[in-house]
Amino acid sequence: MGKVHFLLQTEVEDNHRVHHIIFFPEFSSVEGFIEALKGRHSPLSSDGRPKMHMGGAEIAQAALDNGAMIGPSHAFTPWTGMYAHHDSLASCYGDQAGKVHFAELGLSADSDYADRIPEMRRLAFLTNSDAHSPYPTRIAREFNRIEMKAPSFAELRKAILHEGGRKFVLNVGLPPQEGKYNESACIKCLTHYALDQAKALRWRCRCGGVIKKGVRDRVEELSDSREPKHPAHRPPYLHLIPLGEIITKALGVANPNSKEVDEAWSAIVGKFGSEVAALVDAPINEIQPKEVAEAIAMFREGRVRLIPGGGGQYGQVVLGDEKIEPPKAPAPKGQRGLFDFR
Amino acid sequence: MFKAKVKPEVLKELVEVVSILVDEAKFTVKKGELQIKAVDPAHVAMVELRVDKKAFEEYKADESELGVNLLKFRDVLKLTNPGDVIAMEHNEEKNQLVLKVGNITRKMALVDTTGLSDPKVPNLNLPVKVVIKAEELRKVIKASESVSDHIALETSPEEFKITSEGDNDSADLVMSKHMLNELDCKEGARSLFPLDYFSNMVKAISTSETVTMLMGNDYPVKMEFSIAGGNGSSTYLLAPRIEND
Repeated sequence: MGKVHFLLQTEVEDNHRVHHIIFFPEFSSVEGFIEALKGRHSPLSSDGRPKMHMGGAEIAQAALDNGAMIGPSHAFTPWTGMYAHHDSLASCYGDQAGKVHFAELGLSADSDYADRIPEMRRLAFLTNSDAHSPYPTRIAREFNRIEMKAPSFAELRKAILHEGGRKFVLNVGLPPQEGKYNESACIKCLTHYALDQAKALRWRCRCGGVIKKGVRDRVEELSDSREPKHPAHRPPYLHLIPLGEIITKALGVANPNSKEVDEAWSAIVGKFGSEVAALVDAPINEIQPKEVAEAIAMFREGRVRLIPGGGGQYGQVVLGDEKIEPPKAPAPKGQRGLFDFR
Repeated sequence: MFKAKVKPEVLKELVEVVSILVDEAKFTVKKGELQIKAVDPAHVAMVELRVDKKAFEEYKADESELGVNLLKFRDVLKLTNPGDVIAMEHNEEKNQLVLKVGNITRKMALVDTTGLSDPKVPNLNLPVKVVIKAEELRKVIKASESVSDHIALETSPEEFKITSEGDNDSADLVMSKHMLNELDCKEGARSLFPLDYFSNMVKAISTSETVTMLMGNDYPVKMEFSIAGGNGSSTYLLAPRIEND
């Protein structure tokens, strides 16, 4: 843990179910923020992502008044992302919108998606992983590389504002197609729909389930261009598939959290120092076992296909020419149509 | 020709009943009444509605069809106050419905009716009849919405039961024969329905005190209720989910 530094940070949910990330400069700032909330929240000592009984503008005001920085968490996620409930930063943050300087993209979006939306282009993009689970395929599956003089809030602030030469130099994340809400799909039977189809069906699947709008379609609705318009400050975006997932595929095991995958992952990361080093830089002939080496070679050569996720199901990674069955949907609960009864 | 004056609450109720299933609907204008029939895009539910000319303050019509965007119509109704009367006239030349509320005139382009479906109502044999207070249905919907996404309607010769079962929670409404306005059931029947459809239907029943429900076993439910202060009637049909399908 010697090289790990911590930043004071929290994620909160507002009264529209939108999630926000807040970075604090110091503990007194956290205390001031809590005081400004005046008790209008769920218990802070036991709730990992406390629920605030107030809107985004009020939360932003409380954070900014205490020297913190705020922005939307996983901005595109169709349940609790800003763009699930709002069409703009102004709709979410009111008169504080101009003081929002970053957005977390979430798994189903990358900077090519987000830079199709005019108001996003001035923001720094965070590609953060979460720590919901400890498995190698989950933790640190996304990260940022930031140029700063010291690992501190003040330096992070400068990087977010692109000041004094501090900047984000790389966003690293999953290909958006791997995310659980990339395409619009029924959350019950997982049938995927094109935007026009879903609209015509009023977002109701034939199985009776709800069709959840995918990030790709939400971006389409908010964009002003078919292609992304990257601003000068935007760093490159590296799409990485977690090493654990590649190992799972290579070894042909079903469970990415299995002991077999964990052992191979630990051996490879132990040898090369990090996932990125193993995936990008390590000599292929030094990677063991050879099935994993072949799979990493396919990844580097772009011989990887992605079957987009949707409706809450992750997308699938397909290596080389592997043939796969379309995702198996859980059996729908037999919703009938009226004309089945003629 | 279609020219009428009507209190906004009559139109609001009508739009509410239909718009839970479709955004656009064909209004069939007859000499003595207005009819609407629509099926939702997933073909899971259908509405059939008629409003007698007696529900209108004035009503003059030849037979015609108007393709109405219900969302636009709803926006116009937001302009009204209690006590207002809306004047409606079909401008056939421009295919517009001209609505006048107070000093405001809103000309609403009509939708081409050839694109609107004219669903054939399934011919169903529904042996069980339950007449229940609408308020009881509203209560059970409220209790069920946080429990599950489906609801079971079950009848026996003695009682009518609505059940919603989640993984850990459940909500029940059990009404014995004497608590209902009517129960006609020779043999037990049970069908399962998607709660979101059922809930929207029950919520749209705003003025009718009672609802007549006609059912079968693993079969659609038909819900009949009055609208427009008794000067009209409406029917919802909802397809079931088949358990263990």
